[in-house]
Amino acid sequence: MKITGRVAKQKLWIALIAAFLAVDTTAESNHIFEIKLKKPEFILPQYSPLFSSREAAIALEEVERAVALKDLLDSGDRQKVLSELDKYYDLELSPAMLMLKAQVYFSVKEYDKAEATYLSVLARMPQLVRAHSDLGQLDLVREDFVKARQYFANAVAYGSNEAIVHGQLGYLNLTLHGATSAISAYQQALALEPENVQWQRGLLAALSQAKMYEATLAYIKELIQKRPDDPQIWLNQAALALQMDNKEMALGSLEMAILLGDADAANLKTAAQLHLRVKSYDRASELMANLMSKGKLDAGSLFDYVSWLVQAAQYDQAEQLLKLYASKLGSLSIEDQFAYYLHSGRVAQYKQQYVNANTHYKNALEKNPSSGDALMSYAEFLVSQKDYVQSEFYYLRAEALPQYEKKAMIGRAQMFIDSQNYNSAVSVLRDVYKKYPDMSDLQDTITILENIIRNRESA
Amino acid sequence: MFKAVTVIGLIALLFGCAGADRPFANVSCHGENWKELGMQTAKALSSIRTFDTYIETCGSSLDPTAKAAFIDGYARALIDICTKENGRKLGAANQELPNVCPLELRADFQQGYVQGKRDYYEKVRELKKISDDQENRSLQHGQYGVGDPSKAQK
Repeated sequence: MKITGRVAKQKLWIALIAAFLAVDTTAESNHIFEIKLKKPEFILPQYSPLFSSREAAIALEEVERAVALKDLLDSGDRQKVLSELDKYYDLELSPAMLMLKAQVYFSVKEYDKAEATYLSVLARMPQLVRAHSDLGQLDLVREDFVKARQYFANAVAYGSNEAIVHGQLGYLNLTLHGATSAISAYQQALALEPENVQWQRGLLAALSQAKMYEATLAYIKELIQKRPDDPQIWLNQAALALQMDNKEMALGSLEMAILLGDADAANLKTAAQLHLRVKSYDRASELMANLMSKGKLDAGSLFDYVSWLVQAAQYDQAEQLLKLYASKLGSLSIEDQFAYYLHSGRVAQYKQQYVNANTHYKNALEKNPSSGDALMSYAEFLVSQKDYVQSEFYYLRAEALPQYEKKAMIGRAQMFIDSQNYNSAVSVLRDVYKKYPDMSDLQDTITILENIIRNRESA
Repeated sequence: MFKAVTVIGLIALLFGCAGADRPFANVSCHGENWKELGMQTAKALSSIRTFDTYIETCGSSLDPTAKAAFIDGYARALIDICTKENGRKLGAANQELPNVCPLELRADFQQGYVQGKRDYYEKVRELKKISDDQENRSLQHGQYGVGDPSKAQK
């Protein structure tokens, strides 16, 4: 089989590229877009004494005392209230006064005493709704969510019609038992307080976590109609759109939220990533520069964006971002400095700024001499500069790294082909084949090269 | 004479149940069964403040778990004491309404007490009626005895 030099070289390229692809595991990074929404929260209600409670009665003989205590409470002297109430045995106090005592303990953050007092109320009136709901709040504050949930559930079971109790139950169900169990509780809370932002947020979170997208979207649209200037609702729509894999809608909603004042770094980053996806590189770069100016762009995110831009052949944008970051170089870790130089080297190479590229690659290797990635990139760069001797040196260094051995050997073989040193290329490829016999395609390449050598010798 | 004996007997019957045990005064500050003592104090319809006397007497030598145990026993006993039925018994025995029941148990207890009081007054009325009847009978008996018409005819 006689093959001309040019055709043979083309075939070799194809074969080696195929081999490279088999080795190269770099694929398009699968970004997980993240939108930072305000999470549903629990609300600690303002302290309110219980004189007007419909649930626990006050004894007739306590009325005068209660009025005196109310005056003390109004003047903010809670310790005095406690010392007054401590003069009595709990059994001498009505449940209403005992609830007051528990609430004052709660308000002065004496949680153990508050709990004991609430429990003594419940021992006397096991179905006292307010005691259950207050204990729920207490356990929320103490972050004992399981107990808190149980108390709120009791309060509801005993007939509580307070929005906050339903809302907290929704929050805890969402946290502990998944979205579906939270929906009804949040709906109850909203039925009682339709304008409460926390319950709206909670219901949205629950609906979307339960993957009830249509219902969530309908609810978001309703909220947007009511409060079109609320960036949080737009963010919710963006998050939902991402869950529904509707990137255009997500980006539009995010941009609306940003326009309305949301400046959360995570959301700006997501917006930038989405812009990269839809190839609006100018806006993406603008957002990243904005983040950088606020000091909110970490090195890792910067390098991700630069990689994106390089993949999209947006070298000017990538270079601009790297230059903007240069002032922070000194404050970066050695690892990040290395990454910075490596990316800069690649961008400079793409921009055919070979001197800069050479400097950047060398700087990168100075920061991390055993980086297979940097050794390979620099070796390839040197090949492009026809500096085959230096290139071989870096390929050999990369070959010493087990993860890069195969890739570096094939790279070195390709370098020999480029430099028309076919004997060396065959020798390297045979070594590769010996070490990696599963690369059966290499055999064809070797045969082609041997033919070229034979043809040369016979010429 | 018969009238006086009958009335005294019936009144004694009415008050027969009165006078429950009182908590004993000699209590050791340590090793006492405070829960049991609390129960006894409640059963004696004594105030929970009875415990204050132990605090005063024992001072720092009082068992640190005493108060909680005493209150626990006292509270448990009140559940059985502060019932409508017991209130009725106390009222019927014409005893004073004790101020030991917590508010949430008080209504039933007081209702029973009022009924008991009503029963008591009813019984007193009945006794009075019996007494009056006896008096009338003896009066009548006396009149016939003094001026027996048959004897007079003889």
